[in-house]
Amino acid sequence: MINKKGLLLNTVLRILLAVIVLAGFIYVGGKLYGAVTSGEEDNAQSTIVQVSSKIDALISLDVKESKFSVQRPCKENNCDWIIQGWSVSDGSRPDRCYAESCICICKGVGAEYCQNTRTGFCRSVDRDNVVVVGEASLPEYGLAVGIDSFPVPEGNKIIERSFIDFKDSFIELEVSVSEDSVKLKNFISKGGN
Amino acid sequence: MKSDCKRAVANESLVYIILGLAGFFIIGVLIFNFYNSDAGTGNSDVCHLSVITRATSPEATQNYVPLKCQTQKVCINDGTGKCDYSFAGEKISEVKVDSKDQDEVAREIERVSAEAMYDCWNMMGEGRLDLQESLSKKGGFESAKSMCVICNRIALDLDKDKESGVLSKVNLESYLKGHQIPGSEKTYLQAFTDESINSYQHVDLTALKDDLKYNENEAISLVSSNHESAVVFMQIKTASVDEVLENLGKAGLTIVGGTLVSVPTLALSGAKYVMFSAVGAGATLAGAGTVAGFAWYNVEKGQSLAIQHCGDLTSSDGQARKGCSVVQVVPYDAKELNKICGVIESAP
Repeated sequence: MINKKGLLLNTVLRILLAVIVLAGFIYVGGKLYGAVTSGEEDNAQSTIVQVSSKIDALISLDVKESKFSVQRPCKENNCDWIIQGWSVSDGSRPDRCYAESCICICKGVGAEYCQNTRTGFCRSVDRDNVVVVGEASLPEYGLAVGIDSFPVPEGNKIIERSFIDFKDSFIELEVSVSEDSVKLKNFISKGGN
Repeated sequence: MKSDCKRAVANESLVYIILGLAGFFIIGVLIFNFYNSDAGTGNSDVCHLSVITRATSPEATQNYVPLKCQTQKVCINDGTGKCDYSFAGEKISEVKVDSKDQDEVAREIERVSAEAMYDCWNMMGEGRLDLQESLSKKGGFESAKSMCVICNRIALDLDKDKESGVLSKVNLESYLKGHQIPGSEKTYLQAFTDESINSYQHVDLTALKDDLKYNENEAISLVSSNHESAVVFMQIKTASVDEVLENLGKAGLTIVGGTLVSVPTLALSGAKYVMFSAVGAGATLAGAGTVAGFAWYNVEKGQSLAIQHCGDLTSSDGQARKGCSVVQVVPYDAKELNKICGVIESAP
């Protein structure tokens, strides 16, 4: 005689066990994947802390201008982390800047990329106005906006954008501090590769 | 009787499954904690362990094994500041010196630099481990790209009036040759090379400067660098020695590049470990003009120092692959670092 209740219990137990095992695999696998890929976010956070700490240091040391090098948060060239900044009067700044000027490093251009705490990190700036300027060469800009044959006018091959991206392993930032503003600028290296 | 037997087998299987699950979770948690440990990322042991893990991983998965190496910041100061200009907001280790004795400060800068180079070289497997995934390079579709780990950043915060005087007395080359590693009978030079080596392979850059397109403007740009150096481990992997030469040649500081161009021929003729430095660079710098240039003379010599290993790299599949690994002290400057490093593997 077949014990139907026993069989059912056995099957349910097995299914339960399989679900637990599967959940365990997914949980641990997910955690491991997260741990392995989290380096970039950590690096981006370190980068923005480094930049804002430098600005704070310049303000407290009463230094008007300085240059320093910053490491790219990503390993390779195709890095989509962008440094951006908003003044206190700028209505389009990310909500997380509250009522302050701020600089952010986010995975895209625009305040919307800085709203998410996983794709953006912001720090407040103790000045009313924040200006971020990143230089780019026109052919490179043309490629970035999807125009292969971007016209390059003679004698004006560099444009200025309101954000700074990481084209190289290291970028050089120039910081200028005045009574009411902070300007962060990245120049195209003319002697680099 | 038969039913009891079945139940016993089922119970035994259940025990094995539970044991397997428990083991899986314990290993998973350990790996997770290892990779997610903030406290551990600054630890050279953790970095070394991750280096070994990557080197022994199958080639296809090497890129997915992150190196857990964080750049260590060292501030050499005389008590007046804490290198805020360089390391504001970052975790640093301090080395206090008395700036009244310029010689002592210079020796301390040499000691810190030498130890940083030695630790970096050891941490990264003495240049013998294969740390770069290279499937695309194998097919010849991609030129060799150098990978770097910035082991240390070393900054000075000294009395500005005395800083130039101190820097003019720094001679890392002499320190590595004349000082023993703490707890060892070997000098740094012997540890970096073969024990039999007691002198440097010198390359006269004044003779090479035309070939290297070395010019005074370049020298002046190096002179105007800030007083912060980086200890950088670099590895380039390729089967073609010419490609290594090409990359190393275009890599780096004009001075370092020049040195590297000439040294691998020696490395390939038998000596696997080469320690080299440049002579003549100082004369060229001094010739470049400024007082500041002269003050940086010895430091520039230090920056041209590099430890290099060219030859077979040990990989997980036992196949030897050619590559070059270099540890060098360079100015912490975006322009200079970009010439050396294609890919950065360390956390800032």
